Order: sequence, then structure tokens, then C-alpha cells
Amino acid sequence: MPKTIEMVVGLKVPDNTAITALQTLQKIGFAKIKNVKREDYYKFEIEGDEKQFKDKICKIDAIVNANKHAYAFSVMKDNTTKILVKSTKIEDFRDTKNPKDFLVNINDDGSGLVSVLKNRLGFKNIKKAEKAILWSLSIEADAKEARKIAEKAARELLVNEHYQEFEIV
Amino acid sequence: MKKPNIAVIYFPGNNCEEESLRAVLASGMDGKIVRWNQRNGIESFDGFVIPGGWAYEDRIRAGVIAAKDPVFKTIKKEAENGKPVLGICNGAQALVECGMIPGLKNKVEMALAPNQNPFINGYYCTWVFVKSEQEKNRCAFTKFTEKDDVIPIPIAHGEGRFTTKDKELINKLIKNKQVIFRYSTKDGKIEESFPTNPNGAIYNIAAICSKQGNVMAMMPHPERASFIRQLPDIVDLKNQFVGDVVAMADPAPARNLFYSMKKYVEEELH
Repeated sequence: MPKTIEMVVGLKVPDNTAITALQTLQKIGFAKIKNVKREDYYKFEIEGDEKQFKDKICKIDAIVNANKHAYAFSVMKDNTTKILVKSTKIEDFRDTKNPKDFLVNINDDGSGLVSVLKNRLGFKNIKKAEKAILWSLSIEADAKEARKIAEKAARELLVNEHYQEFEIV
Repeated sequence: MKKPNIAVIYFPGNNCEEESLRAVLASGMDGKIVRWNQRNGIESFDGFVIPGGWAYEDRIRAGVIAAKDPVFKTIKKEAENGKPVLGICNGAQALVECGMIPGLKNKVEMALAPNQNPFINGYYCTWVFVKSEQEKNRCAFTKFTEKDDVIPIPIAHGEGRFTTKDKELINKLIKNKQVIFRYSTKDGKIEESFPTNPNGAIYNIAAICSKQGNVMAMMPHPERASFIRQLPDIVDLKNQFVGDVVAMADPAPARNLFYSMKKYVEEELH
């Protein structure tokens, strides 16, 4: 029976992208957003030993660089409003002269991530992998208003819905 | 007649501003590199080039932070007054992220998404060919470019795939004649497959103009193909002049975009 494992990886050094996102959001009118955190979010579907997988995956430099990343195997429950951003599936890639698997783009929708982990890094028990960006916004508002603000922030800055999709989690 | 005076807007992280200015000056215009945070005087320029590079390190995604910069309010207003605006590569990304391109609904209608390339992961640079889709004079940058002209030109980007979730948009752009250049073979054949289409762009789009025609977002780099000496050896035009130092300084086909900008300003604005 496949198991689903979530993993979030964030910078433990200052995150310039999150800082810039916060400053830009405030400049374009989102005064109630007081802090922004950004993490890489992974969801793996595996067969076999969960503990063994977790012990190995956190040692892969392409996912966790111990010098600058902190990680956890769950999304932290806190007072922030979280936005999960994924790339939408590409519907129509052109035929290539030499049909082959898509070359890995570890920063894309994760479809290449499985190939890297399985074929290059030895994770034979991975069935599926997804990669997304998890934004955590600290918003000075009640839950309902915070959700509205987060959706607006997503549409106005954090997401381009022409190739990405998002959900408030 | 007064020479057109073009501002090359420099954001922190751009790296093509000097070359863009060189192309502007070589085409007979005056020009100046203008920092993104210059408060006054932007509106005094006759036109704008938004150059390539990595404005704001492409934080969040390419072009989006630059698109929110206050200078774009001024550039938008000047574009509404008819002034030409050429966004090259990162500049094209900023124009798309602020909605100036395609400019039909005053909102973001497209994306320049990560490349889809079966062999190269992420950033990809190479020489390509682009074919002109429209009759001469369709936009401010094609007064010297005939329909079906093929131009050798380099690309260098990781997020250059024009795409949209609006299934009707491409038909509208075709109907409005806003698709200016498409990736093609050197003979002008449109092939959707790699390597002719280097990034998976929908409809092989390499450049789109606004409906009015004075704003254009172009992913390839015309400033890097403005002189014969810049062309690679695979281009026949270069081979004719090998060894001729003087001829190497002559204009290459992509220079016509800048000559056109000059003519546009002289005829439409001065």
C-alpha cells in the first residue's frame, strides 16, 4: 500500500526571495501582511519503509543542503495563511526529433523529480513525486479576511495563473 | 531633425543595458542608461528599451518584481501616448507580467513560463531564427522588416515559453496581427519541435506587440545580433565577410528593429 510523505524545506539563512516578496507586497498595498516565509514543498508517494526513505531523502543535496536548509516532514501548523503553488501540467509539448523522457527539471512540476530520484539517486521505491512552493503569510486579520488577502496576494504577485495554480492550505 | 532619445531602463540585475544602448546608438538615435529609481525626467525620453538580464534576481519569477516597480507606471503612461517600448528577454518578461503585452485587457493575460526543452534543463542559450509574421509597418519595430523575412538572433533564457490559459487568446492575437516573430528554421519553415522551437512557446511565438503596435515583448536578443561581427559562423551572411574587419562592423538584420524604432519616433512622434 503506497504511503504519502510530505516534506517542507526552507532556508535557515535569510531568504532574499521571501524578503523581496514581503517588501513588494507591502509596496503594492498589502499593509496587513507582516511577514512572508517561503519553503519548497514535496509530496512523495512511496512503497516500502517510510523511516528508511525519510532518513535517505533528507541527505540528498538537491533537496536539502545542510549548510542552508532546514526541513520537516510535515507542514507546520501556526497562525500563518499558507498558499501552495504548483506548476500546471503542460498539455501540449511538441514532438521532438528524438522522443525520450523529459529531461529533469527539478524546479518544474515534479514530473522530472521522480526520474532523478529513481534513476540517478537510487530511490527505486518512489511511485510519485510532486514539488510546489509553500508561502506562509503572517496577516494581521481574522481567518476569513486573511484568506481573502492571501488569495489576492497570490493573484497579484505570487502566482501567474497562466502556468501555475494555487490553493490556500 | 532632432534625434530620438531612448531610455534604456536599468533594473538591478540587468546585464544587457550596455549592449542595448550600443544598438540604439548604432542605429542613429541618442540614448542613455536610466536607473529604475530615477524619479524625474523619464517622460522626457522618446522611447524605452527594457533590457535583458535578471532584474531582482528573477525573485518569485522572472520579471514580476520589475513589473511592480513605480517606473512602469510612467512607461505605461508614455506608451499610451504612443511612445515605443521594446522589452527584450527579461524586459519582455516584465512587459508580460505588468499586462502591457498583449495589452488587451489591462491585466496579466499570459506568462513567460519555464522552458520546455527535451535536452537542456533550465537556462538555454543558442542561436535561432525568427520569421516575421506580419507585413512591414505592422508595429514600431518592423518598418524595415518584410513579411516572411528570417532573422538570425540569439536566445538566452530559462523562462521564455509564451503560454496562456486563455484558449481564445492566441486566436485573438493572430486576428489582431500581434504575433510579430515566430521561431522558424533558417529557411522560414515553422516547426513546432525542438530545436526550431527552443522553449516550447505556444504557436512558436518569439515576439508579441501590443494592439496599437508601439510596444513589443521579444524573447530573443536583437542587440546581440545588430552587427555582422556578432553573428555566428553558421549564418551565411557572416561568412561572406570573414576577414573583412570593416564589414564586420556593418549592421546585421536585427539592427532593423532599432532603425524602425528611430523611423517610428521621427514619423509618428516628432
